[in-house]
Amino acid sequence: MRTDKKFMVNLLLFAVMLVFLVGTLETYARGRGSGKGSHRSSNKNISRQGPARTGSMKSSDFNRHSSRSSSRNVQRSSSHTGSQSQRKQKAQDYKAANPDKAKDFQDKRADNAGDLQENRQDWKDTNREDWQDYGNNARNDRQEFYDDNDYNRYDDDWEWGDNVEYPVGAMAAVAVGTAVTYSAFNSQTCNPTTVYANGVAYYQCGSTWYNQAYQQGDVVYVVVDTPPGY
Amino acid sequence: MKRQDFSMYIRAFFLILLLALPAASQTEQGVEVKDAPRIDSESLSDFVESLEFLSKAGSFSFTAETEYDALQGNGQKIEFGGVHKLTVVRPDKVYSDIEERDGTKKVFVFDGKDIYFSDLERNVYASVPRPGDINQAIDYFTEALQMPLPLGQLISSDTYEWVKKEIYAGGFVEQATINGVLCDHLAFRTENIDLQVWIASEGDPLIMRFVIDYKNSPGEPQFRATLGDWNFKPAVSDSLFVFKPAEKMQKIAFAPVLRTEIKSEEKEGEKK
Repeated sequence: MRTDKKFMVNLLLFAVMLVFLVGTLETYARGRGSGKGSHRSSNKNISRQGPARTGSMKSSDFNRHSSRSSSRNVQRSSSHTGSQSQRKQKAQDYKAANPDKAKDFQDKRADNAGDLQENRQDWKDTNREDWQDYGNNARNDRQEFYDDNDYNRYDDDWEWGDNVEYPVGAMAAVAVGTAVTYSAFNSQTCNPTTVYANGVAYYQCGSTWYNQAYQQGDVVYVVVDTPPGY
Repeated sequence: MKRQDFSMYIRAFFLILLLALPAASQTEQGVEVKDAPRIDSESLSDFVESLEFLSKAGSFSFTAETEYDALQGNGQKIEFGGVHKLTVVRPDKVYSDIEERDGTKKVFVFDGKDIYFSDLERNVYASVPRPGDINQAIDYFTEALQMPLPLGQLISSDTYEWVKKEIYAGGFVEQATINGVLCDHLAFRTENIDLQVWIASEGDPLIMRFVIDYKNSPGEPQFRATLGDWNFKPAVSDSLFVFKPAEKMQKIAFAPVLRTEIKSEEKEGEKK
């Protein structure tokens, strides 16, 4: 009995040392892998937007928040694709078809959940009205097909800002006029098909069509109506 | 009221006054110097003169290294930047190539009739007709199309009028050397921004650096630009302002234009 106890203690010590060793080797390997000269892609979660990007002295160039909020509302009210229940249904269909991806989202959300409360700013309250009609569930939808065009939207729930990537395939219905960042579009689960109509490239993902466009200096994908002939 | 109470109120009043004094005197620091005019007219004249000098130059080129802060959702400010090379031929031609620090290259061209903006990394460009002069093109690009063109106001010929109208305080800070050029460091305030500018002390009144504080925006981010390679006799060929899309470069729209088109199509659809 005593020998068993001693054996268990030794085993535990051995396990702790093994974990420590593996951790150290992993850190060392990571350090080696990211040495100078190796190419590291940009962190897509970091926003480049903001008033200072304009370098402008005129407030009309950098104070666009109020007009943006109203334009967002217009987009919502003119949504072709319907109600919150439809969006929920679509999201549920996606989750059923892609259980692994849905779990990844949940995990990522859980990781960030601790930051949600901390990152909210007082002035968020002034913008809360914008989001009220969507309710709590819609907040998740918003994160999935967020519109990256509003650089004053610092009320984002995620750690870094408004560039968090989610596959567009996970989106539910998206209003015409909504913009999706270049990297978010390219990380979507569907393989977009490209067609040309009147010399313009249209990108189709599921039942949603997009045009590329410039928005505040960046290339984004804007949801558009179905091109003629499709 | 009892006499004791009255005395207590008096004491409280003086205590509050005492505590408020340092805060009040703080507002007198910086460029709003105590017992001095809110605007040092000589400094404002120097700034206006430097902008007028540029507005009267027929053609010129310069380089600017820019930096700006982008506020993140967690409250941290992250710095981005790039190098801008601008060539201007008044009244109606601008060429600007922009290389951001991450290697992204962008080109802005205005040829007097159309505005072009291209992204060499994404291999796309957008164009929009905008006949007129440089001022009109820049205003349209930054306001209607909501695109950033950080040095646009510097090359607009009417910025000095805006400066005279909007600046309510400011003055001389010190003489400082920027890229080997002795400059007058000036600081100004408007309702929405604080501005610092470094102007060459001798010779042409060239702007060598400027810093904008977006003091009313969350996080109070800054834009910074250091200017150099000023050339007022650039060898410019007309072909510089003829935009030629690169091979297989895709034409795209500006998002505000695209949305306007969508809305008008919707209205037409509703009529039918």
